[in-house]
Amino acid sequence: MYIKKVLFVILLLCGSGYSQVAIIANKSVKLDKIEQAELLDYYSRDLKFWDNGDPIIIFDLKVKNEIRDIFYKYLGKSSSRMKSIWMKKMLLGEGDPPEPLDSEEDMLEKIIETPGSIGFINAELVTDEVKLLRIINDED
Amino acid sequence: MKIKNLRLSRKLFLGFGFVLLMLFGVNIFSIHQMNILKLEIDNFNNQWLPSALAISALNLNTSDLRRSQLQYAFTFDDQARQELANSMILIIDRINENLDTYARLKQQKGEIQELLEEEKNLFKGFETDWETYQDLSFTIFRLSRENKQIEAYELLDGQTKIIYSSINAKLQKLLSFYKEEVIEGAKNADLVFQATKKLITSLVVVTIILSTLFVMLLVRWIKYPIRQLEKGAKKVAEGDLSVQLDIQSEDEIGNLTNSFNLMTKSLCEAMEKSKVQADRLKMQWEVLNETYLELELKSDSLEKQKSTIEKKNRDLQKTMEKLKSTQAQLIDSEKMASLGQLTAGIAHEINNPINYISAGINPLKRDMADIESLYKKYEEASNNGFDPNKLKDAKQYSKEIESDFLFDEIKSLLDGIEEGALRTREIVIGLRNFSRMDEDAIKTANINEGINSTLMLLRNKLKNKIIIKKEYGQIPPIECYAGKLNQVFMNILNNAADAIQDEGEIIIRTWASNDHVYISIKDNGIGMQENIRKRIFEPFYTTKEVGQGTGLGLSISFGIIEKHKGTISVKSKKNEGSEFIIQLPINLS
Repeated sequence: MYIKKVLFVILLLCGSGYSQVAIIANKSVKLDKIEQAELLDYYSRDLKFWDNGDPIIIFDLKVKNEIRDIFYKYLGKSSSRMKSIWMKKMLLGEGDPPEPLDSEEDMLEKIIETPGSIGFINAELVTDEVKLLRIINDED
Repeated sequence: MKIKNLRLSRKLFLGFGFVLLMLFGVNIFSIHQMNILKLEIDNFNNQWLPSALAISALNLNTSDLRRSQLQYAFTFDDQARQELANSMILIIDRINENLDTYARLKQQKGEIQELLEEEKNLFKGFETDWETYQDLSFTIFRLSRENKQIEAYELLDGQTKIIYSSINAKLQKLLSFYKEEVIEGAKNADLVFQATKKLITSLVVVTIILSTLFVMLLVRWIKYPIRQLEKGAKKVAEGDLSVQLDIQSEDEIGNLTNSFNLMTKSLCEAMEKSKVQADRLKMQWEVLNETYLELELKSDSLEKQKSTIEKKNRDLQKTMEKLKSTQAQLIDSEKMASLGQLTAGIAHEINNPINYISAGINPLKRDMADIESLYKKYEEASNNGFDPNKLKDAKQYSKEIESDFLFDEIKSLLDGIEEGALRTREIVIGLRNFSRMDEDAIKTANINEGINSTLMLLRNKLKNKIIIKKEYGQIPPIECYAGKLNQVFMNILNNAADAIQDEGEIIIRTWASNDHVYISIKDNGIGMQENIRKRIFEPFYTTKEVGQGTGLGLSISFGIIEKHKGTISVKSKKNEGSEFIIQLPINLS
C-alpha cells in the first residue's frame, strides 16, 4: 500500500502541469490494471460481467469537462458516439446506459460504495478506497 | 547597344522571342486562372455539395428518429415495438454514417481552407444538441419500456421537442449556409471565368498589337535601308556613280550599305582610271596604226626579200644536191683509190707466184723435150728389138742430158709451180674476203680474219719495212658490215704504213669486254701534232701531198664505225707514233 502511494506521488509529480485521468474501480474488482480495449469492451457494454459473475457497473459524468474529454479520447470514441452505442444496446435490450453523475466526487463516492463498479476521475482525487487501474495523460 | 544596330538574325530572334514571351505569359496566366477556377469547382464538387448532402441526410434521419420515437412511445405491442427498435437502430447507424461522412469532408476541407467559423459553430451546437437528444432518448426509451407513455410523451413533446427543433434549425441553417456557399462558389467561378476570359482576350489582343508593332518596326528597320539600297543601285545602273547612302544601322544591311558606298567609290575611281587608260590606248592605237602602215610597206619589201631568199634557197638546194653528188663521186674516188692500191698490191703479190710458175715453165718444157727425146730413143730401140746400138745411143743421150739431175730439176720446178699456185690461191681467197667491202647486208664475221685478209692485201707494202705484231684476243664473231670494216682496217693500216718512213712496227691487238670488241692498231711512225690529230676525221683533211690521198679515208671510216654504233679514237704523239682504238658492239641489232 505504501509503495502504491509513493508511485502515485511520483506519477503526480511527473504529470504536473497536465490534467491526468485515473481509471478507478471498486475494491471488489479483481483487476490491478486495465488496457484501452478492455475498457472499451466494458463501456460499450460488450462485456457486462466480471469473471466471478458479478455485473460490471460503469459510470459517466454529466458535466462536459476536460477529464471527460480525455477519458473518451482514450477510449477512441466520442461521448456522442458512445451514447449512440448505448442507445442501440438499450433498444436491443442488452443493457442500459451508465448512470450519469454530476461530479467526479460523486463518481468516487459511487465507486467506493458500489461493488463491481468502474469509472474515471481526476487523478488528484484518487484515494486508497478505490483501486487505481490506470493513469491517462492527455497525450495518451 | 541599340536594338537597331543588332544583327538581323538577332533582331528576328528578339522579335520571335518577344512574341513567344507574350504567348508564354498569356498561357501562364491562363493556367493560373484555370487553377483558381478548378479550385472553385473542386470546392463545389468535393466540399459544399457533399457536405450539403450529408447534412440534408442527417436532417432527414434525425427527423426519422424523432418520428420513430413518437411511434415507439405509443406502441404497446412488443413485436411492433421491437420492429420499431430495429428500425431506430438502423436510423442511428445512418446518422453515424452521415456524421462520419461529414467529419471526413471537414477533414479534407481543412487542407484546402480553414473551416468557416459560422459553419464550425453551427455544427458544434448540433453535436451538443444531439448528445442531449440522445440523453433524453435514454429516458424516453426507459419510460416507454416501463409503459409510462404519458411521461414519455411529455418528455417527447416537451424538452425533446425543443432540442429536436434546435437540431433541425441548426441543420437547416447549415444547409442554407451550404446553399449560399454553393451559389457563392458558382458565382465566384463564373466571375473568375469571365475575368479570365476578358484578361486572356485582352492579353491576346495586346500580344497581337505589340507583336504587330514589333514586326512592323522590324520590317521598317529592314525595308527602309533596302529600299534606299534599291534606289542607290538604280542610280548606279543609270550611270550615276557618285551615289553615297546614309548608314542608318550597324547590322548586315548597314554593312551592305557601307559596302555599296565603297563599291560606288571604287567604281568612280576605276572609271577615272579607265578614262585615262582609254586615252592612253587611243594614243597607242594611233601609234600602232602608223606602225602598221610602216609595217605594211616593210612587208612588201620583205615579200620581195622572201622571194629572193626562196630563189636562193632553191639555188642552195641545187648546190646541195650537186655537193651530194660530188660527195658520192668523191667516195667513189676514195673507193677507186683504195681499189687502186689494192690492185697494185694484188698485182705485185700475184706477180711473184706467177713468176715462180712462169719461170719454171720454160725449163720444164726444155726438160720435158729432153725426156721426150730420150723416150723416143728408147722407143726406137724397143721397136728394133732392143738393138744394142740403139740402146747404147739412148743411154749415151741419157748421160748427155743428165737425166738423173733432170728428174730432180723437174721435181724442183713442179714444187716451185705448186708453191706459186698455192700462193695465188691464197691471194685470191684474201681478195674474196676483202671484196665483201661492197656488201651492204649485216653478217656475222670474225674481226681477226678481216684484219688478216686486209694485211694480206697490204703485205707487199709492208714487207721488208714493217714488222706486224699480232696480239689477237679470243673475240666472238660480231654482227657487222664486214667489207666496210675491212675498208676501215685497210685505211688505218695504210696510214700506219705511210707513217713509218724507214722501218718500224705495227702492233695489232684485239680483245672483247662487256658486249664489245676492241681493236687497237698502233704504229711507231712519225705521229701527229695535236692540231692535226683533232682534224683527221674531217672530210677532205689530209697531210699527204696532192694526188696522194683524197682526205676522205678516215672521214669515211668514222662514218662506217658510227654506222656500227661504235666509236673510233686516236692517240698520237709527234715522232712516237699513233694508236687507233675502235670499239664495236657484238650485237649490232
